[in-house]
Amino acid sequence: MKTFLQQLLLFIAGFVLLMAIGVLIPASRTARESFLFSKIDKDSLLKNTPSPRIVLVGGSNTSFSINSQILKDSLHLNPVNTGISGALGLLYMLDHSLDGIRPGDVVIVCPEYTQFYGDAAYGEDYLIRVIMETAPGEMLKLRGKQLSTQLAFLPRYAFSKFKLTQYLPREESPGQEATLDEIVYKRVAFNQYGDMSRHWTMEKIDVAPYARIDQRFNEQAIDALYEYRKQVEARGAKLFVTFPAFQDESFANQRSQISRIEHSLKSKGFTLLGNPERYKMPDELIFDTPYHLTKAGAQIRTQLLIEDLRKANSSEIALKGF
Amino acid sequence: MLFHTLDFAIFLPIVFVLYWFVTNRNLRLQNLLIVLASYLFYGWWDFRFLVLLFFSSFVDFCVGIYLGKENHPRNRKMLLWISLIVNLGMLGFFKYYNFFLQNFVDAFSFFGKKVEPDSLKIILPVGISFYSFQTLGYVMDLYRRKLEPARDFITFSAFVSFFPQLVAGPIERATHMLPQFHVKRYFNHDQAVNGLRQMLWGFFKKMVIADNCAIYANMIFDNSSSYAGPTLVLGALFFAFQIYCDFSGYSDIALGTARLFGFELMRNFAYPYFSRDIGEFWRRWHISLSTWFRDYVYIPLGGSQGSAVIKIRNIFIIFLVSGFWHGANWTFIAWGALNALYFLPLMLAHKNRDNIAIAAQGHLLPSARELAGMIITFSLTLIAWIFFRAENMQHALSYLERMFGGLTDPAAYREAWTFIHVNTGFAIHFLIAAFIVLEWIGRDSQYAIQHFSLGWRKPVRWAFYYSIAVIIFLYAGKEQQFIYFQF
Repeated sequence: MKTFLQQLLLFIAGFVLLMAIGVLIPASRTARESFLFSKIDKDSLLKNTPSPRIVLVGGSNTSFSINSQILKDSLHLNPVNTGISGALGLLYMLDHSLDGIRPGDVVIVCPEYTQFYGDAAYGEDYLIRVIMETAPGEMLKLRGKQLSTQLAFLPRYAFSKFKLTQYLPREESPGQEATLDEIVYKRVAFNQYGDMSRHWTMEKIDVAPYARIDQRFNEQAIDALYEYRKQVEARGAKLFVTFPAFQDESFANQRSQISRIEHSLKSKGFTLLGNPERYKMPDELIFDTPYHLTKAGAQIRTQLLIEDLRKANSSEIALKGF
Repeated sequence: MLFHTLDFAIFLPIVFVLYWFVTNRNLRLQNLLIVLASYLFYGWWDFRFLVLLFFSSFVDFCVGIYLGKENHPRNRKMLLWISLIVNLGMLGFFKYYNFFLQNFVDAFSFFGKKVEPDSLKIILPVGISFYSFQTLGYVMDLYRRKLEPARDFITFSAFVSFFPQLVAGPIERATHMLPQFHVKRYFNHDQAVNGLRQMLWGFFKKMVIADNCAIYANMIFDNSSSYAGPTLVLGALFFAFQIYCDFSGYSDIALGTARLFGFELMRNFAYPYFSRDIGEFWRRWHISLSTWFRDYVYIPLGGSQGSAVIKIRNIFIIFLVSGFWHGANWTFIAWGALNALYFLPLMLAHKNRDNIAIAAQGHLLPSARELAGMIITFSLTLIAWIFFRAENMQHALSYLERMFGGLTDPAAYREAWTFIHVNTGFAIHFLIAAFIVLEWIGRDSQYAIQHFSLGWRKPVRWAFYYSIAVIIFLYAGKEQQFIYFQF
């Protein structure tokens, strides 16, 4: 037994050492250029954009489906689109944006439906990557469940640094088309407001619909949103919750799970902008995933959002500039 | 609790330490620890499931005690029936109630009668088919006087609930497993290292091959009407590797974990995709279930004795029951029927036991005849898997129709190539190829890497293990529940 335990501990120590080396290797060029690094730019936008502001909080549906210029022109508010990826998890999106909220801000949270099911709200492996490579100290700010979820991704993150292809420049081959990762999912693909705009000139691709969500409903996601509202209001800002633009076929597949979310949000007294049905989109407006819109789609979705904001404004609260 | 989660990574070392360092002086205490740990492991899904597990164990323990005392044939038969009714009743209710109800409604509506009974929202307790069959096997062995009844409820509960194999097998035989709970276990270094090695291989199969294949198989099966023949073949291939690596990966982890506690479980897979005929495939696939059906259903029915009609009947019964065991859906029954059809010609020609030893034994490469046999058998299995994976019969048939209908169109091959280029990338194909090569090289062993690196110097051997571990973390697909938990 003694030999077994010694050998096992030695093996594990070697494994931990390999992991530590991986963590300490600086971010590769590919990683630094990826859209996840836009966090740095978006943090700066949130910090430096002057009031009056409209702050959009969500995942990639928020960055791919909003045309902030239209928002600015219509509402006379300075837009800050903080959306990067749903894989960062709702809890991180909320907690991270909170520090940047100022009095008078109009904050619109637009989570993907999956955020309310399973463990999606705690983030996938993108979160540990973003934090470790941009601000490792933020690991300490994560909540318990988030932290345990992210620690499970630590080995994967660390060992990904050993992928040599990340360090090599991509060779342009005449016959080989660049992938979406190489064109769209880049830090430089966002415009000055934080909208993903690189794909606005590109052809849409065929998008397979999402199936129904089979995971359990996560009450903690609703609770976190509720807590966020209190904090936002304590800072003198106003919170609205809205629904993401979503491919209609995927919407049909997830209808009952979406209704459950809407019901929960209503029962908690959130000010909702529109309803899920209103933001479902036909396939021709979908770009590359059921949550991502083409330029035309983003324009339509933004107009709908403006209408809903005006409606909410006239019935609830007077917002300067509307 | 899933094997490939942080929860299990914390749970296992704690139980290991308590088992070997705290309870090791007292066998009963050690068995009690196994029971408690197993109930915690199982209750992690839903604590309500524990009631069923306890009830099933308790009933069969009592039936066993009475069977040990009773000599009157009629009373013995009655005791057997009690166990059958309780176990199959639980299984029937939780697994098949809504299926029968729906088919009942469909049958009535076919004759113009509209019936609207209340269907129940029944949660299927994970692994119920596995532990029900394990305890049923125990009672049937007692009934046949092949075994002495367990006199200690803790020992019996440990046998039924032993966490490594509780939720997805192997379905152990009491004759093999119970005696291991009766004797003091001693830590064996080689056995434990062998166990860890098998666990490592199991994690690789599950997390790298199965979970990645699952993504692409789901993508293709969920949108099969949008794809042409070659892409649908690709989908079936992905599913074939998914289900094999998912289930055999689970079995490897289960066997390896059991070894850490000094137990030897029965082997559940023996390289089924290298089978040269369908008879061999069924001797190598889910061995614990196949042999269970053979011993407790097929042989009592008369097995391969008797007229051709009886043989055909028995084969169909065993394959249909096996299909139905997998789930309450006509697709599983069709899968079973198809395998019966594959198997029948071999059995009627007395060729079903032609290939007993592993393919190309003692050679590096198979002969042309063996290779042809393997390709044909794998292709037949692939077609059957489509029924297994499809949502319903209509889905399966339209999948097959599109698959075979679209194989001659050159543009369809470009679609498959684009699917690989855009969706899968090449890493997963390389990993599957490496996996097949390793399985082929290690096909004489219980699992592929059992003896693979033993002759190497320690640093090289460890480097090999580190490589597998790194690949697991680096290329693990999105976490999926083990497929067989739902059965």
